[in-house]
Amino acid sequence: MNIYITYILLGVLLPLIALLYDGIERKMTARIQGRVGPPITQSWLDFIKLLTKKVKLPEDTNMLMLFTGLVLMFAGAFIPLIMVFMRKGDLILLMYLMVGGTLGILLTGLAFRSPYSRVGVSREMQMAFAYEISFIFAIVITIMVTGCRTLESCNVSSIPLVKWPLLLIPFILFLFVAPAKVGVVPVDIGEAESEIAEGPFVEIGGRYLAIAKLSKSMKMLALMQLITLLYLLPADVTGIWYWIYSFVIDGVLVFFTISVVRNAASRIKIDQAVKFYATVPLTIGIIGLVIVYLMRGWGM
Amino acid sequence: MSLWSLLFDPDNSIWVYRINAGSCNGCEIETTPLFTPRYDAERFGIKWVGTPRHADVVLVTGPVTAVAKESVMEVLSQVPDPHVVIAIGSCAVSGGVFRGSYALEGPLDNLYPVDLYVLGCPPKPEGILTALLEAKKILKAKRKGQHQEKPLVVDPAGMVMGR
Ligand code: SF4
Repeated sequence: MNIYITYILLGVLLPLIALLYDGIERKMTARIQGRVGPPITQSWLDFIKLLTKKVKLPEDTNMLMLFTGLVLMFAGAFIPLIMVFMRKGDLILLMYLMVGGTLGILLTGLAFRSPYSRVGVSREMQMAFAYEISFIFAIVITIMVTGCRTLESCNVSSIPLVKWPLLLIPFILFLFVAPAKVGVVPVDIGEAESEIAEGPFVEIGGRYLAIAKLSKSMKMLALMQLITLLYLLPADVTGIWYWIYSFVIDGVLVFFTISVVRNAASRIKIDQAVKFYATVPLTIGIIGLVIVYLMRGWGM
Repeated sequence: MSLWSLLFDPDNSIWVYRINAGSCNGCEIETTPLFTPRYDAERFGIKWVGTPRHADVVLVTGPVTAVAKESVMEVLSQVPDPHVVIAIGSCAVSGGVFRGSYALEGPLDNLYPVDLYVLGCPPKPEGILTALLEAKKILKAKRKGQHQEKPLVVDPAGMVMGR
């Protein structure tokens, strides 16, 4: 009984916290740029505002596609968020769910005939091909190094000290993939706000857009917590300290992988981004996989 | 701001879309500084959006020319309710220096109800920022189903007239 109450509580609170992290990220961006910035509840206010707006969609919208896309997008962010915070579930399942979230964005964009959303979908798809493979490499290397697949035990503290440097490879891969997966400025080519007006989301408004924005912030928090959980969590942090430690480290990760990256670079072109993701992270991933495979062969 | 408005007030989030209805670009240049560190409109929850379907507030600059009229009406018809339309600059308010030209279909209030006027050629960023903050109150009233009978006028330096 108790466990159900915990899940319901988390299901309500974690999306709110995710929106709060989005607001913190906007605040940090503003501070880096020398501005005062919005209050940290701004994303939460945007969410409420979008719920109160009336929905106006184009007449020829493919509603089935739109709903499928939104459900996939929401599920691909919400379920991983609960999984990583509760430390329950399978790492491979998590990987599939998060790739499913990307698929949801594509379906949402394909529900409209606007050229902006079509361009956004095509760019999003090219980006997905480029970075998802590195994401998969990172998870596979982690599984091979730690030798387990569940989120409870698959952790940096569950392996001997000598193997820790090996986990540096997936950690670096995650740092490369995080901005692209969350969709922030240097690599948010599919959603480029100032060029193609948020790409796949160009025609949706009101509560549908609210779900899309919520999914985006939940995906960010889930990814940060996944990195914390796999690579940065010591074994003796449990109970209430687990939550405090997680939230603090998530904030630090958001600062370094999202805010700093976003302010240090301007948006690059799709061919540059694909070329980058198909060379640097992929090479690191392949070399890492070979090293880990050889080490296993030597019985380490 | 009170805790209530920080947590639950939807009017603290304003997404703004801009339409250029044949403006000389002077008014656009004055709207851009709103997001620089000096004015920082984001601290009031104001954000530019790139599509009318996300917008709460529409800024229209320029006298509505015959060529621009169709697109302007099309774009305004895509903005979901409740929304506020602001006419920025003398051109959008009255036709300005182009008044009486054969190429004009405007000014804007001949074609679409306008909630706020910002005077000046071009208006200062202060004026535009004041208008956006006034738009917050109008949005609040519109959410409750009330409609104001008389549009407000903001002078170039940001004083609200016509209360
Ligand atoms: S009001 Fe002045 S600055 Fe603005 S569009 Fe008209 S002529 Fe240009």
